[in-house]
Amino acid sequence: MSLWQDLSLQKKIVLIIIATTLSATISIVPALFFTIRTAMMNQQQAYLTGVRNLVEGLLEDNHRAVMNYAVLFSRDRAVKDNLFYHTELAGERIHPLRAVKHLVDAFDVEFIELTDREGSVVANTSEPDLFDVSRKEDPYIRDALSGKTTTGIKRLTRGMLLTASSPIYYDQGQLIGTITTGIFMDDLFVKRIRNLSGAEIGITDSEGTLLASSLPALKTSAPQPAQGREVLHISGKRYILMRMPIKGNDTRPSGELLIMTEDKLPEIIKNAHITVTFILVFIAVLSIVATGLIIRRVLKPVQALEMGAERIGKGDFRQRIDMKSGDEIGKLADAFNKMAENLEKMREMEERLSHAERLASIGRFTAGIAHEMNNPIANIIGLLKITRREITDESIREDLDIAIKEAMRCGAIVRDLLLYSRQSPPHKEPLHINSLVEEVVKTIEQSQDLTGIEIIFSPGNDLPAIYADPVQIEQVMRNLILNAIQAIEDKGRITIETSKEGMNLLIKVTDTGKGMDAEEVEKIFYPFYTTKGTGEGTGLGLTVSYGIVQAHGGEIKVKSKKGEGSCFTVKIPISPDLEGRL
Amino acid sequence: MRYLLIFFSILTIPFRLSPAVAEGIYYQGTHILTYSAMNKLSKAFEKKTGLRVMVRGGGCSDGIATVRNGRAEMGGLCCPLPQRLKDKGIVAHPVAMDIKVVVVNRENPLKNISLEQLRDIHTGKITNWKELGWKDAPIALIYRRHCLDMDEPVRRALGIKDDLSNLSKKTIVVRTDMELLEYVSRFKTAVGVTSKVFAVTEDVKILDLDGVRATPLNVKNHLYRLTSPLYIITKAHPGKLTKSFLRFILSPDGQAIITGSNLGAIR
Repeated sequence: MSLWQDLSLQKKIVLIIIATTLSATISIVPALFFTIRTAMMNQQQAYLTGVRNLVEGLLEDNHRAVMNYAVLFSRDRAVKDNLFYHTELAGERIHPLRAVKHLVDAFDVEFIELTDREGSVVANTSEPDLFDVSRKEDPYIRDALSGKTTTGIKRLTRGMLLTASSPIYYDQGQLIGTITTGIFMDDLFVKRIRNLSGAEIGITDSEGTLLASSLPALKTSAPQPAQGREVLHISGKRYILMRMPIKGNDTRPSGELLIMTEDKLPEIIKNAHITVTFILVFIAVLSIVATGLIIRRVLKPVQALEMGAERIGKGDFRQRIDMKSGDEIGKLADAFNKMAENLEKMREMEERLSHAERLASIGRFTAGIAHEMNNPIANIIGLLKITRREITDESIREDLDIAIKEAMRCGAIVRDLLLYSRQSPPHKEPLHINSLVEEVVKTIEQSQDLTGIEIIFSPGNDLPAIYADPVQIEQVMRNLILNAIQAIEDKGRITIETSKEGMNLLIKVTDTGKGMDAEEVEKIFYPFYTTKGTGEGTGLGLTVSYGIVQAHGGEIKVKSKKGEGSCFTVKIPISPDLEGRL
Repeated sequence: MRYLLIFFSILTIPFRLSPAVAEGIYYQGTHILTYSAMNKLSKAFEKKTGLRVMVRGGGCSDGIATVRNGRAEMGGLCCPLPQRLKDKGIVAHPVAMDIKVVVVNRENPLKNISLEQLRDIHTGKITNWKELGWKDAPIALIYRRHCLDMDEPVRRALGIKDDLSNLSKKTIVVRTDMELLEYVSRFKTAVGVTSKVFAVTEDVKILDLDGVRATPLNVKNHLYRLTSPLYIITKAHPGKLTKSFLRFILSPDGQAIITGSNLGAIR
């Protein structure tokens, strides 16, 4: 037999579940990891796109801001008047310079430059001493002088400038100059963008020179362009780099905006893998344990059935399975219990039949002997009595008396045997059992030494009469009571109860005597079997009682426990025509 | 019943207080009057009569609007009342003469200017200080644009058309007298005309006009020519209190306050 076949059902199921769970886990894990990685990569890509869009948006906001400032300041009364005074009325340059410095102080711009209508610098807030420098080549100034407001990014010596230029018209509509507003794209600027976007920002010029960076560690050099996704390792951290061209007034990129986001994806994926693995293992273990417990619970009745079947197989038909369940196993247990019950009944019946058969065999045997011995004994007694009459020798007469007595004793035994073997059919008549028992008890109390023995009779109420031979039933009751008296060694109690059970009359004689073991109980109704000392009984009392009850269609049972006492129950059927008759 | 009386007492508090409020009248209008004499006149009038004149600032247009809609009993006007307002029952009461002065930067060495020169500066005929005997520098004319829809006397005196079309192209046009004074104080080559009530500052210098100093006395004696009447406008039939206040302004006491406020007396 293979190892698998030797395993219990529970172990087989648990092994199957473990195998299934493990194989499912093993096959799911790679797919799950792939899904997680793909989802996170997509998420990261979406995040990067979002960051890029955000940075673009922030740049756009700054463009819009400087352009709005340029337009707003170009209409500022003080700027216009002071520039007009300087450019048209040869006024001092300090006046327009003060006007724009005041604006730089008051508004969120870092740079303002005014030019006259020729494009020459009048005032520059970053370089106050700068003036009369032509900006005609500056495309933004050129646009402004032609009446347009433009915004863009231009390269200055100190870095990139996010700028916008607008024309300044005086009251009569004449162009008197231009105003350029700007925000320096320096470290402060990229840190502002970093704070708003969450991404580290760097700015390079068209040559790749790093001009500004929110990452101090990136100050040394700009990262070289690479194919595919660019990854930087800065200060022990991994960054994903995105490049965004910075366009000037023309289409040529004047530099690049470096957007660097810390790449936490590998660590996140690693953590996710660990977490998922842990969860899967936990679920698998939990499933196995839970399934094991469930199977154990489910198989418990099966095991009980198995044990029950084994015990029944060994002959213990009293075995029952205590299970209150409506499922298949519960029904199986019920069926099992019914089967055990039937088996028990069958065996009991079989034992009873066997016992009855055995007693019947003994009866037939003894009846034959008794029948054969009855006449010779009667002849012997007759002859002995005749002989005695003819003999005068007193000593011989005494011997003959003894012989006659013993022969008569033999005759009594033979009668008892005939009674037991139903050679003497009962002469049935209506009988009130309570009166009979009461009479027997009285007789025994008068004739026997009942020192230390208490006899209690509890007659049943409203008992019907039975058809029975009063002499024989009296003998039965006498035998049972005497038997009980003899079972009590010093003192004790004998209880006699009568009752009705279905269509039977029950007479129960219980004593608190020495009791019997199972072997004694088994043989108690056998002829000549006695637990009394030699000469104390013939061993036919209970045998005869058994035969009488059998002859009345009833039965007699005994329950006894060594040291605690015995209980004899006589069951005599009630005739239907006497039902209800007291 | 007692609670009912208390309730009605509370309800009538505003009505019982209203006579005290009704004792005052309001003035709103040209800031020339407001800035100079009006508060002094109000206090003097209250001291004399116990009646209050509440003074609010603003411009000529505010004065017209508040009188027309009844929010104030009196409005201040620095220009003659247009016929269209007279037709609507508004009456103008001249109360003082505004002394218009020519102001230049303190670095400007000139002390006198003629009305003709001033007119030529405004119309763009004279554009360089060299023509007036100073350095070769463009004249930065600072002009206050106001009351374009009215017959503003100074504009007329300076030969400037109502639509300013003949105003010098090199003019810095401002909205307020304060702006004008600020520019004149800052721009070395600036010149402008403003009320004397505002020009009493060390930041600018007042030039004599045709050799006459801008003083109330010279105005009274008709020696100083660049003046403009200041009016208080009322509805056709002003109330008793308003009439009383107007009489007070035109009284010697009132006119003394006027002349003491760098304005010219009307009588």
